Amino acid sequence: MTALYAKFARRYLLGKKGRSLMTLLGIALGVTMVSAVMLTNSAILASYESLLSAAAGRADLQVSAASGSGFPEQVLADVQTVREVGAAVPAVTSGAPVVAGERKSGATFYGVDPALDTQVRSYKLKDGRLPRRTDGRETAISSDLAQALGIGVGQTYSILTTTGLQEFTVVGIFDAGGTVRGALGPFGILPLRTAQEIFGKVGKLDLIDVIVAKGSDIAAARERLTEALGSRVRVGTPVERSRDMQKVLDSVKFVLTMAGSISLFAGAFIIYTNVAMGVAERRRDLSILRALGLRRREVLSLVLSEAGILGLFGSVLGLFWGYGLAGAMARQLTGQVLVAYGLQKAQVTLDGVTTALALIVGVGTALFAAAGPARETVRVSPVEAMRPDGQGDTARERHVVLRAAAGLLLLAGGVAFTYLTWPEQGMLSALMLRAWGVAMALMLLGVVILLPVLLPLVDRWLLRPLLARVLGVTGRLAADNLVRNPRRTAATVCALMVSLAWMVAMGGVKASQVASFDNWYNKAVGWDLNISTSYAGLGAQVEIDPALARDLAAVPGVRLVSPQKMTRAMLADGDPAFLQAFDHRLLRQYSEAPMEAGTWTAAADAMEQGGGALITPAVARRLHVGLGDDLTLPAPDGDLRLKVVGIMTDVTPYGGTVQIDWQDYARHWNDQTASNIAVLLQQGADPAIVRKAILDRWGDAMHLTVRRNREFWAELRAQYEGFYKLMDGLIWISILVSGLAIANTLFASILERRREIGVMRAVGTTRGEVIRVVLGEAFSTGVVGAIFGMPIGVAIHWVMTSSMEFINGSSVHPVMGWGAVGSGLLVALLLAPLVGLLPARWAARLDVVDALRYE
Amino acid sequence: MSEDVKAVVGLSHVVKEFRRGDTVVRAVDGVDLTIGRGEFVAIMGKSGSGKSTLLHLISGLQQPTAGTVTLLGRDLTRLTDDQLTLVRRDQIGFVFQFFNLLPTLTALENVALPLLLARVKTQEAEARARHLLATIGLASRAGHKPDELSGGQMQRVAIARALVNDPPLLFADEPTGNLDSVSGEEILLLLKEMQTGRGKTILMVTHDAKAAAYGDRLITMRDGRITMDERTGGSAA
Repeated sequence: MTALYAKFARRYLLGKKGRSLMTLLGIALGVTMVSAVMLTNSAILASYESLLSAAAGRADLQVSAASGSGFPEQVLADVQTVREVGAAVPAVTSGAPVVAGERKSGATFYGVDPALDTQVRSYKLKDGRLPRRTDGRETAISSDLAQALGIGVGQTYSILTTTGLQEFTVVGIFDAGGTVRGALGPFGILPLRTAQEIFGKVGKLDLIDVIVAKGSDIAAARERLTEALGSRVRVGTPVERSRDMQKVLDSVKFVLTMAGSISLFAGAFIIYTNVAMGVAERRRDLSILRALGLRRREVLSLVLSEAGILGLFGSVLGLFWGYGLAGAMARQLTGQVLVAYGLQKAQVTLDGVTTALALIVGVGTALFAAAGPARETVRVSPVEAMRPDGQGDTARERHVVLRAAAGLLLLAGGVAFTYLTWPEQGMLSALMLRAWGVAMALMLLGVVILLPVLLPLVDRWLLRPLLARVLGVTGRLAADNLVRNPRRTAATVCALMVSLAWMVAMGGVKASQVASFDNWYNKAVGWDLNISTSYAGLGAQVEIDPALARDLAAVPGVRLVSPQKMTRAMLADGDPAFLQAFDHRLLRQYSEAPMEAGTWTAAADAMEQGGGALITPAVARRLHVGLGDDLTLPAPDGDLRLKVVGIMTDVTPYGGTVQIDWQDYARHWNDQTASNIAVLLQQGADPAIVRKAILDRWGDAMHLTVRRNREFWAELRAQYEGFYKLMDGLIWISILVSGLAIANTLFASILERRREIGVMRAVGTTRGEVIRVVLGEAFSTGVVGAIFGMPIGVAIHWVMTSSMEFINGSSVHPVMGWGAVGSGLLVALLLAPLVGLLPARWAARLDVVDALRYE
Repeated sequence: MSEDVKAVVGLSHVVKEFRRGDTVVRAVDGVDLTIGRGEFVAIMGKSGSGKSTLLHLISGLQQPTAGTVTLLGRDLTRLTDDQLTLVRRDQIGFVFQFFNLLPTLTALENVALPLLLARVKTQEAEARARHLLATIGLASRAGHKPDELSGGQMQRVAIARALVNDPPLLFADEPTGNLDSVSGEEILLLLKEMQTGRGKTILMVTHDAKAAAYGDRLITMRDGRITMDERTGGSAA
């Protein structure tokens, strides 16, 4: 029997190559997106964990800085006094641009004590040795960095330090794939003291790796260390630090998973229409088989096995495409969003879990989609199915009231859940974010269930009158055909509807983010030039020595020089936030922070006095503080109490921002280095000339980047564009799948109405009129998709934008994404007729006699 | 009036071949035929005798492999697909065995369809369709869809649809093949009435000798050829 099934399935699938290919594509594209999202997420998380664990080596615990500027070196002595600590290995880390001749790269450097460091980390040396503790000019580098710079043992290269480029000698090259895996990217080690000096961290450490003493418990050691060290540092296991990354990823993952699910949703519908069409086409054949003695169960197995075969091949294809797409997505994310977390690249690997899930999802969807039409086939008696006038009947919608009730219930339930769980305070937990995703999926399901009920109403009140007016009787026929099989039409409309909703939603989110960003930037960023040491694209930044700020003030045309600090800080709730430090006496001369509560003038006055903090709504939510309240900020020298003098708008996605005055930062963080320097020019000074003067003097030695105001704006805008380009790619794949679904449904509809089309042609319908009927049907599908998809998209956009403040901390005000609405409308109105051209042509060219044939 | 003008259908040495894999099947094999205005011609023959193909050739649904087909003085072999469609729309009414009404349209809309396709205004088209339905005794069923009508009623609606353009020719392919004997007889009487009362030329393909007896000329086909062509006088009516 299996051989017989296989023969039938093979003959059918190979006999209908075009249709089988379309089904295969539908499944493959759905699985592509789902697997790409899964692989990207796991690659980034795994790479970050690998980065941390590779860097931590055999350490049981890590003492790390609560902020980006490290902690006092004395902490090491405090750690060593804890009885449970067997060994404590200090380190300083920094990303830095490196240069060898004409070649440039970016690298992560670890400043370590080589003698101590081997207790926690092992380096698989390929050549040479590790640097000596005492020789400040020696480095060992990873083989990929050596390759990027084209250098070997004994050769020199330059590292950009806070005071400019300094030369170092390579004494060892270690295997990049060994201890330090790909996540770190190019990597190098230096003697600890040297690293402290060149990265502006004298007397400071970034990390202490702890090996717990033999016989001691890790948890107990951790408790004792936390007690001894207080809030100025974090104590945890190396992998726990990936929690920060997890938080950043949660919102990205939410968006990507939604996109993947939507594509799978659309993929499921195309499978459904294909299988339904296959069954409709072979209704008589299958009935003959039943008449010849094949049982219902066996016919069911036959249809399901065909769907299963397509599902399997489609899933395998989709998995490989997904693997490729995940590589591109991971590159985009690490290159733009996650580089701030030190993640230079994420290696995508095709793991067993993703493979199994992709196969389950692809094959499962195919089988689920096939089950309905297959059951319908076997429900009809063979004699009835073999009757020629059994074709083309109008499918009657059953259980209309039940269906409407279920759909409304799901919709109302989803809306109520979102409303009731909307957080007044605090941030949305990862669990709640998932729950919202489920609620959104249930609401969509509600619409899907409701659509077959609503479709005839839309047809009667809108499409039929509209098309009849525009196309006459052909329009009426087109509108009627749309509701011949409401469930199948609804399935097709759903695929388009969901894609359109996603397009409008993401377009709206993007428009809102860009508008909020532009508003913020135009007020908050008022300098003429900005100077930093970062190399665009290399993701390695070195802090700038304060001496440069003093020298810059002497450059002709410069009116004001203001060092600025951008780093991270751990808030009292244990989660990170963005920390900014400005000299507010200078800042208020060129910038004005857009405020959500309080006024900028009052806030700036208070900040100048010291002890003030400007916070963003996300920080206010997290710490339950408001204007005038006290706020505790853990600093390297202990808890710092600040007064909230204003709540300002934030556009960064890092969970909120705290802004303090430069003097407070310098004192409590013991750090005078700047992340960048803002320069305000004298009236009439030409920014290009001043930039040239700065670059001529310090450009080479310090490898400075000097940006003009609009250039920086364009760079930041490009980051938004980059992320949304990725989203656009996913959305367009989903629209492509919807297009396939529409074409397929039209083929199915034509196939079922072959005889009718034959009759129409026989009684005087021209080929052009047949084409108009089919295109009218396609157009109607697009219109219905737009009617339901656009408002859903706007609603999703509003929820996503409004909730961003408690998902990633950025305060974005929703504005309509008219561009996306326009594009969505164009897609809805043009895509369907466009993909309908081929089926329409096919319908018009049907052999009339053949179509009229009874046998 | 010349013989040519009187003849509404003319076939000269018509051949129609089909390719089935490597085999060429000759469905119509050198047929010559003339049908005059107002005739009721019944074509009989076994399955595969070529009678339906002959009907398709005369109606322009298929083109002959060789020979010429003229309809109301026009050579169908020289017309484009759109021109052939217009010939069917304006000059021919079709009645099929399985009625072939459009299931989404009401009886009235089905009857009015050819007029609407010919760009006649909806009001006028529906008025004419309503009148025709009344003529055939289905005025009360005008708003019903096909699945709410009996077989006989559906076939009468199909005849009304065929007549709504007032075509000179009516082609019926097994019009009683799917009806019980009473309904079948009603349909045949209706067709006869169309011939005698309205002067339509009727060409009917049938298996049924009783149905064929309603025609006043009987053509019998076998293996693609006309084996018999006789005047019967429409005795059954």
